Formats: sequence, C-alpha cells, structure tokens
Amino acid sequence: MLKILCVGDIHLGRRPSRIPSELAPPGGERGLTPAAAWERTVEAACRAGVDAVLLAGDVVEGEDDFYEGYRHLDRGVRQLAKAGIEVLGVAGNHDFRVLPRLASEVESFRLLGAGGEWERVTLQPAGEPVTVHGWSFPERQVRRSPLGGRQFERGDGPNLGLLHCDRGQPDSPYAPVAPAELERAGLDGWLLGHVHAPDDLAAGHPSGYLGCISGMDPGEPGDHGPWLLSIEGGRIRSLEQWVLAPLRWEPLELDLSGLAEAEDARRQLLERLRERDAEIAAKTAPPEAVGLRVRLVGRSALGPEVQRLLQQDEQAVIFDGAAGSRYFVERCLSDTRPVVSLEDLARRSDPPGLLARRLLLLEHPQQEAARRLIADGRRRLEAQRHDSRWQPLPPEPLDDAAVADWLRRAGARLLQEMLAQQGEATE
Amino acid sequence: MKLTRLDIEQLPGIRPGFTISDLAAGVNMVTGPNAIGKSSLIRALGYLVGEPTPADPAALSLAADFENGGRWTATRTGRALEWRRDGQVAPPPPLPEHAARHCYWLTMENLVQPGEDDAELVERLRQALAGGYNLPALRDGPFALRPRLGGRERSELLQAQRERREVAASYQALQRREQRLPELERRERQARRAGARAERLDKALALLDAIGGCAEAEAALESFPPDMDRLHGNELARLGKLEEARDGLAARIEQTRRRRDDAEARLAQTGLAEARPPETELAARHDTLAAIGHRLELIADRRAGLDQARAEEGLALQALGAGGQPPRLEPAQVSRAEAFARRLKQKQTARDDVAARLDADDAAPAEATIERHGRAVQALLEWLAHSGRAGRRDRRGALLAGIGGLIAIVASLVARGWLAAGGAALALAGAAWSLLRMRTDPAQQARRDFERLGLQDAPEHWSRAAVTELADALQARLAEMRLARQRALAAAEDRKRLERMDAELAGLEGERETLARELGFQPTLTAAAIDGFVRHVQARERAAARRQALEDEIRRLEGQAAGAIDEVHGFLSRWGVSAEKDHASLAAALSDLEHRAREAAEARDAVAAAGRELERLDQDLAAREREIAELYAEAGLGAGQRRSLEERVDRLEGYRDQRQRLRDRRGTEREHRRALQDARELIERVERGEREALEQERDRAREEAGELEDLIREQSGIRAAAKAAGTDRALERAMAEVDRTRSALADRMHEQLFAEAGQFLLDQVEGEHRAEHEPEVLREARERFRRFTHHAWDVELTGQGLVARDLEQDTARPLDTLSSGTRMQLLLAVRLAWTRRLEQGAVALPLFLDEALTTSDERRFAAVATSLVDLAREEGRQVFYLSARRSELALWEAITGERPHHVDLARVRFGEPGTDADSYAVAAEEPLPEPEGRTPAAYAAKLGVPPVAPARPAGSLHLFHLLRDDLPLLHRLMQDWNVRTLGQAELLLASDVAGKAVPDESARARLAGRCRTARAWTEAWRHGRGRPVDRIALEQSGAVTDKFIDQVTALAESCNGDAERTIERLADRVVSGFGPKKTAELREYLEEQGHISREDSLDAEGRERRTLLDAARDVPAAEIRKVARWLEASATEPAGRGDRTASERTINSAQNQA
Repeated sequence: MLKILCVGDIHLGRRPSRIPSELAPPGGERGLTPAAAWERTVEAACRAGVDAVLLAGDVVEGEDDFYEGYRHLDRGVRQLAKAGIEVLGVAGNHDFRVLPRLASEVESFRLLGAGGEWERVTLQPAGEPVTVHGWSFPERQVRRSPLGGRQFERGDGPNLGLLHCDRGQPDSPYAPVAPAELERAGLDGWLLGHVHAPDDLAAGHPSGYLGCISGMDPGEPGDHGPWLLSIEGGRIRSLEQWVLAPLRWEPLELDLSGLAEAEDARRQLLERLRERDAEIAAKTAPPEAVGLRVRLVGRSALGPEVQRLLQQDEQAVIFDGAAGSRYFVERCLSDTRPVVSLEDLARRSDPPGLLARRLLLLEHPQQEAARRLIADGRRRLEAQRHDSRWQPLPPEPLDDAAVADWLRRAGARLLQEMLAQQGEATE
Repeated sequence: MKLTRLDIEQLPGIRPGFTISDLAAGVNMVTGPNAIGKSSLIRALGYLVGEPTPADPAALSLAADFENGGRWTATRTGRALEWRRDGQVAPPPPLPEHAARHCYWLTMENLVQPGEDDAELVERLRQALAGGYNLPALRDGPFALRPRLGGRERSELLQAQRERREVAASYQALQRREQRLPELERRERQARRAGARAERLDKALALLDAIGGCAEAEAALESFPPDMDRLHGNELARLGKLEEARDGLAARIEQTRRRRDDAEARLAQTGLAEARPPETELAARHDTLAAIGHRLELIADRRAGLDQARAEEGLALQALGAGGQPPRLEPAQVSRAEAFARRLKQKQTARDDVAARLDADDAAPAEATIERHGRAVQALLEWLAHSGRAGRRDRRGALLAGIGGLIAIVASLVARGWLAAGGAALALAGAAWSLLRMRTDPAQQARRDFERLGLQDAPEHWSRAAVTELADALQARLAEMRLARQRALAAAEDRKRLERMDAELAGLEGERETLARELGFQPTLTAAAIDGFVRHVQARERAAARRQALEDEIRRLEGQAAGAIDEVHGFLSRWGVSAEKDHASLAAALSDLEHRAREAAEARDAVAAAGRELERLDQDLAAREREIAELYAEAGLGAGQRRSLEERVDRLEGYRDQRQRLRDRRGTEREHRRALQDARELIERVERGEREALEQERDRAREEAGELEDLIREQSGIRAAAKAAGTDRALERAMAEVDRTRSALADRMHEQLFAEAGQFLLDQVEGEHRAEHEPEVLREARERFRRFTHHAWDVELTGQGLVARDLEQDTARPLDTLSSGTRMQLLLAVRLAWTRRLEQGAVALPLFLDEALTTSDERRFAAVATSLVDLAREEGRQVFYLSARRSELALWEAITGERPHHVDLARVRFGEPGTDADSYAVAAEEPLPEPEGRTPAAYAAKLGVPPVAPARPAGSLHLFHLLRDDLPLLHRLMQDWNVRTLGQAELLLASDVAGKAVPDESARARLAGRCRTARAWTEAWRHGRGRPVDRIALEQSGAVTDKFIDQVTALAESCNGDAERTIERLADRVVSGFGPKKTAELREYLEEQGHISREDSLDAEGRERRTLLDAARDVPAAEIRKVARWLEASATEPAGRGDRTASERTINSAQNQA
C-alpha cells in the first residue's frame, strides 16, 4: 500500500492572532504556530512511515521569507528525506519564490510545475505507482486558469492533480479554476491548496481543498491537518484527515432561551465545553489550545448581560480539557432575540414596533422593502467603512448579506435596549 | 373671537381712559408714540379674558366687545368679571388656558429670546415625540459613534505594517546579496589565480632585478683601492685616540715644567731657600708671646681693681668728713660703740612711749557721779520689773464698784430696799480696794526714786520702751565712767616711771661724751649717727688695704712681661727680622716669619714632585708615538699617511655594502631561480631581459587579484547575515503584530459599523415614528418656519430642544447660534402653531405683536408680515400689530400689498394724529430675470450661478444644476418660492405646499430624483477624497501654532481645502519656518480625521457607476447619467489637482459642454 500524506496551506512564518497572552508567551516560540503544526506533521509522517508527502502550495507565508519560515520548511523536508520520504510540492501565490529555492537546495524535495508549466511525475516507492501532475505559481498573481481546458496525459497508477488555485472564483487573481475544468481534466483526484477550509474529502471523491493544517484565526474553525491518501491495487483506498493542528478554533452557540440568570450561561457554557472536549480529545492529536467564539442565541432578555459577563472571560483560559487542551474565549457575540415575538411587536406603532417591522423585513431580504432597507443601510455602513480610520484594513465587501447581518445584530440589540427602557424585556 | 371694541375707563397707568371701537376683523396696525398706551391694550384685554387673581390691581374698570357667533361683552370692575352674550349674562366663552397667553401676545423680547414658557412647550413636544422611549440615550449609549475611535489602532497598524515592510525589505536585500554568492565565488577563484600568477611574475621580475643587481655590485667593487679588506673601519677612531693621547701628554709635560719653575721662584722669594727656622723654635716663641699677652691682660685687670679701691676709699673718707686722716679703730672699739648706740636708742624709745601715754589721759569722773548713775539705773530696772501689775488690780476694784452700783440702781427702781443697800456696799468695797492698791505700788516707788536722783536724762513718757531705752543708755554711760576712773588711777604711775627714765638718759650722756673722745667722733652724735660713723671707718680701712695689694701685683706682672719681650725680639733678630718691642709688633713679625717658612717648605716639595712627573710623562709620550706608527703599518700605509688612511676609511662602508649587496643579489638570484625552476619559460624570459612585458603582465594580474579580500569579506558578510537572519523571527513577529493590530482595528471598525447600523435603524424608526406621531403643533411649526425662511430652514426637536436645520449646509444649529432674525422666525412659527392647538375646542383670541418686527430687516419683516396676512386671511385670525413707527404702516402695505386697518392711538386718546411719516419708500426689488430666449449657460451667467462644488454640502448645490433643462420651473421656484438650492428644493417637495409649488407631479418626481442623484453623485465624488480642511481643523490638529495658523489657513484656502494638496505645499516649504516634523504631524492628524483619504478617488466613469448603483432604485438610469454628466461638467477640482482651477472654471463653459 502506498501512503501519501497530502498537506495543504501551512503558511510557515505566521503566528495565529487573538491568542491569550498566557498561551502565547513573548517570543512565540513553537506553541501554536503553523511551524508547530508542520513539525507535528513531519513527526507523524515519519512515525507512520508514509511514502511521500505532497505540499499544495503556500507552505511559507511570505514570498520573501527565506530566513524564518523557510528554515522550518527546510528542516522538515530534510527530516522527511532522512526518513526516506519523498517530498513533492507546488508553489502557491505566497511562496512562488521560496519553493523553487528549496528545490534547488534540497535534493530530496521536488518542485512540480516550476515556471507555471505542468509537470508530471510518477512515484513508485512501494511498488505501487501513482502519478502526480503539478503546476506552480510563476508569479504572485495569475489571473488565468492553469488548466485552460487541458487534458492530461495519464501516467501509471492513479493520477492526481496537485494545484494551488482559486476554485469557482473566475475573477480571482490567484489562478482561478472552474470546477468543471477540474472534472474534465481526466485525473482521478485533485489535491488543492489556497482555501483554508478543507473540503469533505474521501476516497470516493478525492478532489478538493486540503485546507490549512492549522487555523490561523476564528475564521478558520474546525478540523485542520494533513490528509493521508492510501493507494493499493491501483486504486485510492482511503483518504482521511489527520487532525494535528495544535490550535483549534471552535464556534460555540449558547442558547439562552429559558435561562433565569445570566450566571447560568456560564454553567451552560462549561457543560457544552465538556461535551465538545470529549469529541475533540478523540481527534488524531488533540490540540494544545482551543479558541472559542461564543455566539449567544435564543429568545432571552439576558443577551447583553450574558455578553458582558462572558466578555470578562475573553482572552482567558476558562477550561482545561481531558487531553490537555486549553480552552479560551476568543470573543462573545450576542445574537439573541427578544422574548416577545417580533410579529407581536410589529403590530405596535411605537419605536420597538417600528424596529420589529424592520427586523422582520430582514428575515425576507428578497422583498422590495427589505432590499430598500438594506440598500439604505449599506450606504450608511459604506460611508462608515470608507472613513479614513479604516483604510488600512483590507477591503471587506459589504454585500447585502453582510449589511443585513449588521442590521439584524444591531437591531436585535437596539430592540432589547428599547424594551428594557420600558421594563418589557423580561416579560 | 374678534375684538370689536375696547373700553378702558380705569387702568393703572392710563388716565384718562379711552375707547377703541374702530377695529377690523383682519390685521390692525395700532400706532402711536411710546407710552401712548399701546401695550395697555394687551394688559386690558388680559384682565378681561383671564380669571381674576388676587394679584390684579383693584382699580380696574374695563369692558370689551367681541364677535364670535354673537356679541360677547366682558366687563371688569375691580375683581368682578362679567360676561354677557347678546346682552344677557352668560358664562364666559371657552378661552385658551391662561398659561398659553404668551403665544398670543408677543413682544420683541420674547421672540428673540426663548423663555420659560417656551421650555415648557418644548418639553411637551418632546414627550409627545419620544413615544415614551429615550432614544437619545440609545444613540449616546451602546450605539454612540465615536469619531476618534480606532485612531490609535490605526496608527499602531500602520506602524506595524511599516515595520513588517522594513523586515521584509531587509530580507529581500539579503536575498539579493545571497544570489550574488556564486558570482562572488567565481570571481574569488579568478582573483586567487591572478594572485598566484602575479606572485610568479613578481618572482621573475625579482630574478631579473637580482641578476642586474649582481652585475652592478661587481662593477662597483672594482672601483675601490686594494687592501680594503685589511681595514676594520675603526682605524681613524683609533688613530684619533692615539693622537689625542699623545698631544695630551705633551701638554701635560709642558704644564708640569711650568709648575716646577713656579715653585722654584716661590722658594727663592721666601728668602729661606737655604735655611729656615725650625718649627719647634717658632712654636716656643709663639708660647712666649702668648704668655706676654696673658700678663698684659692681668695688668689691665688689676689696674681696674685698683681704680675701684681708690674710689671706695675716697667715698668713706668723704662720709667721715675728716679733713685729715681718719681715726683707726680696733674691733673692740667698734663693738663697744655699737652696743652703746643700741642701749641709748632703747632708753630713748621707752621714755617717749610713757610720755606719749601721759599726754593722752583725760580727767577722771567723780565717784559720786558714778554712784548716782548706778542708782538711777537700779530705779529704772525696778520700775521695769513692776510696771503693769497695779493697773490690772485697779480694774478689778473698779469692776467691783461698778457692779455694786448697778445693783443699787436696779433695786431702787424695783423698790427693793435691801437689794439696793447690798449693791451700794459692794460698790464702796470695790472703790476702797482700788485706792489701797494704788498707794502700795513698787513701780510708782521706783519712779519716784529715779526722779529724786535729779538726772537730766528722764523718760518723756514712762512707758516700758522709753524706760528700757534710757536704762540701756545709762548703763553704757556708767561703764564708760568707771573705765575713765581706772585710767586716771594708772597715769600717776607713768609719771613716776618717766622721771626715772629721764635720769637714766642723763647718765648715758656722760658715757657718750667719753666714748666720743675716745673714738674720735662728735660728742653730739645721736645713737644712730654713732652707729654710721663706725661703719664708714671700717669701709675706708678695707679699701685702703685692697688698693695696696693691687699696686704690688701690677708691678710684678710688668716685670715678667718685659723679660719675655726681650727674648722674642732676640729670636727674630737672629732670622733677620726687625720689630718694635711691643707685643703686637712682635706677634706680627713672628707670624710673617712662620708664613715664609711654610711657603718655602711647600715650594721645595713642589719642585721635587714636578720633577718626578716629568719623567713619567716623557715615557708615556714615547709609547704613544710607537702605537701610531703601528696603526699606519696595519693599514698598509706608511707612517703619517693620514689622508690616505682617511680616504680608505671613508669608502670602507660603501665597499662593504657593495660587497654585501653582491652577496645578497647572488643569494636572491639563486632563490628566485629555485622558485621558478618549474617555470622555465619565465626564466628564459628573464634571461632574455623582457622586463617591460613581464611588468605589464604582472600589473594586470595584480589588479585582478586585488579584489580578493573584498570578495572574501563580502561573501563572509553575506553568509553571516544569512545565517543570523531570521533567528530572531523578526518577520514572524512583525507579521503577528500586523495581524494583531489589524484585528484590533477591525474590532474597532466593527464596533463602529455596529453603532452605525444601530444609528441607522434609530434614524429609520425615529423618522417613521416622527412622521406618524409628530404632534400637529410641531408639524405646523415646521411648515410655518419653512415658509418664513423660503425652505432654507427647518425646525426639529432633539435632545437639545428646538434646533434649526440649515438645509443648504445640512447642519443642525441650536437656537443660540442662530441670527436673531432666524431665531425670531422660528419662535414665532412655533407659537403660532401652538395657538392653533390651544384653540381646539376654545375660541381663538386675537394675536398681538408688540413692536415684534421693529428691528427685523425688510426681508424678514416681509416674511413675517406676509405670514400674518395669510394668517388673517386664511385662518380668520384677528391680528393687532402695535408699532411706535407709523412708517411701518407703509412698509407693511408695500410688502404685503395690503394696507392694514390703522388705529392711530394718539388720535384716539388725544385727538391728535401721530407725527411719523405716513409713507415709506421701499426699495424696489429687482425682479429675477426671466429665462426667456436665453441658453442655460447665458441664464446661469445672468443669475450668477456658482459652479458645482462637490466638497461643499450637497444641500448647497444651486438648483440650476438640476433644472438646466427646465428653466421656467427654475425661475418659478426661485422667484415665487425663493428656493435656490437643492436642500430647499428637497424641503419644499416634502412640504404640504409641494403640489402648489410644482403642480406637475412628474416634474416633482423628476426634481426629487435629481436631488437624490445629486446627493449620490456628491458621495461618489467624495470617495477617496478627504474632508476639506479649514481653520478649525488646523487649530484642532495641534500641529499648527498661533504663529503659523494664519499662513497655513490661507494656504489651505488657496488649495480649496484640499488637505493633501495643502500638505504637499507645506512640504515644499511655501510657509517659511513650518518644518517637516510639523508637516508630518499635521498630515497624520489630517489622515486620522479623514481630511486625507488613503483610498483612490473615483474617476468620472466610476462616479457615474457608483451613482447609478446608489440611485438606480429611485431614479431612471438615463436621468442619473444625464444629471451626473451635468454635475461632472460643472464641478470644480481643488486647485492643483484638476485640469483647471476653480477660478478658471465658469458655469458658461460647463453649460457649453451640456
């Protein structure tokens, strides 16, 4: 059986943000960084005796990072080579300069598709052949599809594509590829890099994003780690994820409906954590830390109060898991709704009633009135967004959904504050 | 309810009373000079329509007729108020509440300055609008927009990004350096090869030099004289030393000879060359002379003693006074004289003491006197011993007599006979007893005894103190008298003794005379003088004896000295020395002889020593001469060939150098040949003498090899830097910091977006709630205010109370920031609206304005006057306008076109018309030109329309830019509705009179759409552009000090408020002294405050696209594009940015494009 460990984006040289200081000591050595995830991956590969490791690009965060992230990569590749594991990779938009250098310096690493030219290589380390087709970013941005309707000449064994690309984003400057192109390319599977959220891969559909091996921020929640692909008898037998990320981001919804006291929410949170910890501890390698983004939901007047309560715990470890994982609250958001129904409120003509009508409108954004409300709101939010204070931030599209979300969340809070003024919130 | 007649019979301050009955149902203008009673009309009406209160004056007699569906009459007499309807007593009509009267009766003061009544009004309105919710608290609380929020995070992010870029740039630089390593290594190898070739060529050239050098050295050696090898080089030094020694010896020989000659001459000069006195003899003579000297000193000493003895002898003789020879006394005689003198003296002294005592004795008191004093003292002491006892007994007798007498008296009074008799007896006994005691008293007896002694001293009062004092004095006097008595008895004895002493002294006189004759002194001498005579005689004898002894010794010593002198003189004469025979001459001559003898001995010794030294020096001189001759011989020269020797020695070093050089070059040549033994080609070229070619080749190789060190150093540096780079994870840290700060800034932005969303929803909810629930009063007030201001202003009720909204600038302004005219219009509008509410279900009272418009300008006067006329006409409101200026009658007529009903109060009260001018010349307002036949550009030029200034608030956009294709409508709105800007137009369209102003519904919709489009386009234009910077922003920046504020403000204005351009100009140092640091500080502030945008601005196409995006829901796309292009064509760019400056742009050119 041929075992290939497929690694998605690593982004060596970065450190995760929004980590409590007690988990990210000054200096930030190892700990929860992608470098630590990479080391875990290398050690796991050596232990498991895989035959090859495939890197799907963006291994290093910076295209100019030849001295930090590159060192981690170099050390890991040499360690793999020493263990007799072949390492192949394609360059992504972040490391289109670094990986060619690695290939030139480390004999055991092979860069596929250098210069933006497709390249094919057949591996047969265990007598079980597999052919990998790869393409590397020749420059930071590539606005054309690397496939371009290409039909690949097949090699021995299962044929796999190794590619860093932006799937389904035709205007993307990062090698936009249409899903149909991938399907028509004639390969048995596509191991993709670029998008950090992994697809639900399996032996039956081995095409999709591998995901980054460690979530960098709360926007990259859930399981992260490399994928082990097993080939036997000329067929892909299995494709399973090794959840090795040392840091895990976990969204957590806390339903406040029926809670009598705000303090009860904390107890409920800990109960939920125990349940989640049991699941997380069963992963391949439990994370060292778990960052929680708590979202308060349900019908309750306690939303603001619970939010204030849990915000006191933000950026602090609140729970130690059975497998040693340390849980901290990254942020607590309130998305609760008032106890009284919006429909009932909307029948009133006072300010809460008028606000409730708008919140109800937002539940049906396709309606004309809702579209008008969102459009007006978008103008206001865009004006705020375009304030010079926020210009250093990357563009954040304020599409209708985003505007509706802002209005919905602010409206819910506003409604609760209004009702609280009249003592109606607890009714 | 209209006032038809007012009768003021009695009102404080009004005398006599008067009646006004000529009143119109509409506008009435009541004129009259100040204090004529205009305001009294309001007071009187107030007492009539209000409830009487205790505070009202009692002296009231008023009546008024009203028309309100019948004739109503109100009569007020004192505090009695009576209403009649059509002559019948009736309840009063439903009148507005008293508290609202201020809305009816307006003065200038309460129109300009809101009062408490207005505050209450505002509070009522606010309660109505709030719907019970404190929406401002929400705006200021969880949804507060904080303009400076995120500023710090933004700065931190920018800083973090800068640091990340710096680290990345350093890595890129290092990477570029690393990429040079292969080239550097190749060049290093090449340099090393060149270096090796250069070394060989150097050796070849060195071999060539060595060969040439050998030949040169050999040729040079041949030019030296033979036998140079025999020289050691120190020959001249040695020769010099030898010659120096030889010459020194010759000189010393000469010196020694001269010294010998000198000694011989000194010997001859002593005269003792042949013989000289022995030293022993000379010493003996010296001793002799010393002894002579000693004796001479003794003689002088003895002579001094002799003189003293003679003087003492003379003094003694002088004391004895003897003209002749003094007596000579034996020691026994002397002793006898001394004893006699002592005895005589003792006797005389004792006799003088007794005689002196006798002279001092006084006369002694008589014995009887002493005895009498003794008895007196005794009597006094007796008195003192018994005085006091008789007194006490006397009182007891008297007491007894008193008691007895008293008993007798009492008894007689009570007729008790026996008792009176007893008492009398008792009294008699007491008296007798007292008398008896008096006669037997010892003290009285003692006194009588004293007085009988008859002493002059007696006490003045016989008291114990006086008697005691006298007794003490008499006792002292008694003791003195007794002592004097004893002395008188002793003096007799002394006289007897004196007589005996005088006899003894007489006996001693005889003895003295005998002794005087015997010893030779004057018999009359006293005892003391006799003693002195004896002592002088003894002193004269002792001096005479000493004188004689000294004279003898002097003679003996003089003889001894003369003998010794002769001996010495003879000795000297024997050695030929002549000298006087005195001690000094002899001593000098002997010393001279001694000196010569010593010199002669020394000279003789010197002559001998010089002879010995001359012999030794001659031997040494001969030895040196021999050595010199040998030295010449060693150098191969004959004796005395010094010049030759010098020449050879001078050339010896050159000879040796040449010889060594030859050896060295031969060695070098051998060495180079060995080094080049594997390079025969080079040796052959050397042997062929190809120097120039070899040098050229060597220089080229050396130059090539010269960069080797630099190459090695550079490679080492690169490798070290690469090895160290990244070990500190600088880039990772920098990226993490960027992520952290970006995340923090995003958090702040999300907070603001959340707040903005909340504010937006609050605006929505509040707007809709206001629209649905806005009180009629506020709505009507807004309508009136808009109309008063020609839709340039609106009124709102906010948390701050009533505020006016400038529709052109789109800013809300509190009342205290408004001009007095605008504020007056606003308050008038609000109060008029409020009267309407008060009158619901009640009668409408007349409206009184007391001098309310006197200080208004014509424009505002016209606006309000027109409003009042409309009020009267459309609402049937009776209006009284009270004015002291009769000219306002004409002004009113000129403005409104209607002459109000005039009441001349002066005429009413006193029959005299007012003297104020009856007419008023109103400046004719030039009508707005008609667009007839004009192109839009020409019409805009005629109107003076300003170009589009997108940096200014959209509300200020001139209406022309929206209606250039409908100039008649533009003219009508400007002329009839005084609407000139976008903001005014929006308000007009939203008002109740929109249909009246723009009857065509499609035209209204089009104009509304164009307003919407213009606002969207303005927003698009501002995208990527900062807010205009003005003086306020510059001052708030803190970067511009007072020193520069005027200059920088002027600069900003010249840049049309373009902050970016202003900063650029500052960086160009157009403001002298405003340095780069301050410029950077100002730039940072302007960036933070949004005056400078980091986003790219949109081009015309982008603006159109964005305008379409924003306005497409409300306005057709074609209409949007048309308006956007109009605006584009007429828009000004800030100076220095656009293709033309604002001054260059004219509406004409814009219109031409349109």
